[in-house]
Amino acid sequence: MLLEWRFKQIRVKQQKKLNESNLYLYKRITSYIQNSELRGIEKEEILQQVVDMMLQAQIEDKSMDLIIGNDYEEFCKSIIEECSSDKDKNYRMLNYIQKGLLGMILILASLTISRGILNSSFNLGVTVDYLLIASVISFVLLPAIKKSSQESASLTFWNKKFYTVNKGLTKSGANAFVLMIVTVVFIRFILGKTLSTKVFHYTINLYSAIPYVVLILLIIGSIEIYKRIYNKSI
Amino acid sequence: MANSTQILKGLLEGCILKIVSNHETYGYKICERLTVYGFQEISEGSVYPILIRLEKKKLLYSNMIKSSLGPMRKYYYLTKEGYRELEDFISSWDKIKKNIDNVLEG
Repeated sequence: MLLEWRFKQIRVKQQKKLNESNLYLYKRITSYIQNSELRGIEKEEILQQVVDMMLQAQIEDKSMDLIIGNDYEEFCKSIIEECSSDKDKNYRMLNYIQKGLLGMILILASLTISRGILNSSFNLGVTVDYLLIASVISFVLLPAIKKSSQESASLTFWNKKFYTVNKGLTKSGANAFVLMIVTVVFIRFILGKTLSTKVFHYTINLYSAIPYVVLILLIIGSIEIYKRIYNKSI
Repeated sequence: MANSTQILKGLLEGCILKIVSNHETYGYKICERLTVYGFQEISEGSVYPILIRLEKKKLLYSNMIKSSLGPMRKYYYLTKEGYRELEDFISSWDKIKKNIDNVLEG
């Protein structure tokens, strides 16, 4: 974690040495790599090498094609592919579950806090509706937004201007948003039919949910341990 | 000629092993060396992903050292397996080269 932070500090400082067009290319690469499923330290190691090679090419007045090629998306894709080549399906699935659960807990915590501030009372509990929305955002919308951010990294200047007007929502980002709404409506429909619509307003009290929260945190922790052992063994 | 590009990309792995075996080096220098040897278009954009692959295969290992330009730079070295792989590559290439020369000379 500390090393990752240190690398980031160096990179942010050094990237300022790049000229305007190289900085633009570098930012596109950064956006692509940052929105991948690689581990934080892997991303930083890659970007550290990219900025170093780009700086050297700039100083020697060489074309960036020498390092990046003429298609930086292909360059990023092949880097991500090579870095992920030793991660099997189980690893990827557990990684997805871990990030989803972590995201869900953070979203629920933020919702509870903001509700407490708005209502000036801290009722430590979440409604089933909140739980549903947080799960769908975390497991469907956020991964799709990440993918969409990789796409938007390849936008040209004019496209970028256009998308800025549209709050940066790319086609797949918009699809993800629609998918999220459809998923929420579908689950609500099923729950509403099988149980009752009253179930959505049922508040799950934090104190009664503590065993489940602990269980979720244990799952997140266990996955993290599995990932670390896995990465050390390869 | 798409296939020939693929073949050449495969051969790049062997060439990179050879360059690293001469002395410790880093990504940019390897790109530069390959350009000097005439691999300009093939090596463009593919050297760094190949370095990651070779490191994952444990044919190379690396050390991060702060470069004179500021960022942390990865210096690559050959592992024992890397040296073995390089020897295999050289002997395979000798055979292939000989066979192709025979075919071309008719």
